[in-house]
Amino acid sequence: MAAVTVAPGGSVRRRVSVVREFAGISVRNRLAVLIAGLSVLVTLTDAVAGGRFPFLPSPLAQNLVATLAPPSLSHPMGTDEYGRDILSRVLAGTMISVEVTLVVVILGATLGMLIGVVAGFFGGTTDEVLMRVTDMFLAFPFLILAAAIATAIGRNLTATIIALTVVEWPWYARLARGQVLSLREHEFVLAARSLGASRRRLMFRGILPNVMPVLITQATLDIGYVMLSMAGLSFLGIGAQPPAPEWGSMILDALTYQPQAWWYALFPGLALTITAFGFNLLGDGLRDWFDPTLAGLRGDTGPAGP
Amino acid sequence: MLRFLLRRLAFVLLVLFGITLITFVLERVVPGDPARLLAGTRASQQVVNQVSKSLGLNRPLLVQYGLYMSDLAHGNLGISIVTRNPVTHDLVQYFPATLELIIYAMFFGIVIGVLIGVVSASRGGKTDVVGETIATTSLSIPVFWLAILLQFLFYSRLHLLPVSGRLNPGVSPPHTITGMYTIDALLEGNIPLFLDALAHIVLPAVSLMVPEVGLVAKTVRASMLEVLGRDYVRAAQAKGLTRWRVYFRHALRNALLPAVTVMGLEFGLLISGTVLVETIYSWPGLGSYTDQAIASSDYDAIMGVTIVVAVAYVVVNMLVDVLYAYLDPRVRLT
Repeated sequence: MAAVTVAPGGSVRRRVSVVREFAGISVRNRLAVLIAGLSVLVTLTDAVAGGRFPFLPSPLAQNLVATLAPPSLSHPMGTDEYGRDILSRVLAGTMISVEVTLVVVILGATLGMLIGVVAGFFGGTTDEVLMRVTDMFLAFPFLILAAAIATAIGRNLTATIIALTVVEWPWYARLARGQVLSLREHEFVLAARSLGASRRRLMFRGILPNVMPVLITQATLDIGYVMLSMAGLSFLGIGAQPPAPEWGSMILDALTYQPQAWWYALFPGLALTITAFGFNLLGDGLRDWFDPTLAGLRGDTGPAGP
Repeated sequence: MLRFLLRRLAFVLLVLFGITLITFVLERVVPGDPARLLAGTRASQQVVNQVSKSLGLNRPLLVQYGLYMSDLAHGNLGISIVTRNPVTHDLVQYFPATLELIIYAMFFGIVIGVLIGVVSASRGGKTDVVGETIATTSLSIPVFWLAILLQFLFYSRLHLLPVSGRLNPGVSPPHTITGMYTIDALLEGNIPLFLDALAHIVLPAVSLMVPEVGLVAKTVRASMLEVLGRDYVRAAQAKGLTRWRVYFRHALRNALLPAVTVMGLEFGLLISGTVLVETIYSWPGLGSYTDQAIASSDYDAIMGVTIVVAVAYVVVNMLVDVLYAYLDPRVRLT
């Protein structure tokens, strides 16, 4: 290994350092990377294979002679009321969940960051107006907003994405504004300003790059929450619609067959819990990394230097 | 203080205005006919037109909104299509059940969460890993799935706890004092009734409590870690106070401040959770009411719930700020 590390090839050295990095982090963080990586991998595989997983039955294929079959070798997670393979559906559900969640978090974070940075940077009336609007949206009960949007544009995932984005952005706006306000007073920004840097340069070169790490951490921490909310909306019947293999709507369908078909509700919920858990751990790891004071007495190390 | 309250009151009005406007516009652009729903599917077109006229649905949107707001100022929130009662009447009837559920969930969520957070931060090492894992897990379990699992486990398998409604069938509720059955039964001194109500609230409250535990534990842990290295904590330790006295009397008091703010902001999360939990446990509260209203596009009911929840949210956060100022004398309310 040591010989490889001193080899002149930059890319080789880089790869080894990634492996080392992975070996050096705590079990918790390794688990986080593993679960999050796995769910993204499943998503990509599903996307490449056209919404289904290789070597498994299609998530929509019905088999009316094997309805509500308990877990067995041919159907490790059993089948549902149409004889569809629950394992295929759970895997296909990963794709829906990860895709929708990432879209919501990225949209919400970007929108919130723009509004928060503008409010913090310009201050005064702009700040006051933008922040009051932000507070107003924070008071909006998300389920009801989602319901209203769903009745307006139809009960589907687009409505879910809009509703969750509308609920997500205010948190980022507040966070970004707070960051900008404290960064504005830092020496390096003051120094740049006294050297005659333009406002644009101050904003894009001085402040934005320093707001990003906090926002990225927050976004990662939010993935789990958004995933659960999205499933909750589908569970109430205002998100994904049958026959889409979405975890929340699978659990809703399973309600009719409780308690006999226990596997029907168990596995989609378990998949949801594990995926959310992985992303939550990943967010915690990132947060500890950027802000080592929170790592506690565990001894993880953060990035070196300021 | 007075200035602070006035500012907040102005904010409540702003929130009311904004939220009703958004909900109103979203609802009214819907291709659906509330007049038809209210009149019934077999009513003649003439009757539908009459209902539409009496509801003011044939007027311009802006006029409709103005009328709604003037009704709202008079405490009239319209009539629910589902229950056919005035929405105000429904809200008053269903609110205590939800409040009862939220109080239990919040109280135990905060107590357990604070304990986990304090122990995690102060013990460190393996204890911290266990505490953090519990907290993260509780934030990763979907509330509705947990509710179904608990229902399955405690009812279908163990036959231990009831899983539907607020009381056993045939049991008549206590006289309405607060509307919260466990409290009313105690006030009446009716212990069997109290136990019945308590048994019914356990599972829904636990389902609702779980994410709360994780959230509180994480926030308390983070702020405890910030506080533990401070001089006054060291001084307390140096004086030879017992560990628990240092942690709970000296450190926690200061560590609770940020936690209190987070709990206030997350009140909205709890409200959304009640819709899921109440639906599963047939708990006759605002959550079930909302679910019904959503399912049948009951505009006035949805609007009524939205207003109640938004106002409750603003009021809770105002109380949080007052509490904050009380806990930390350096904070001035402006």
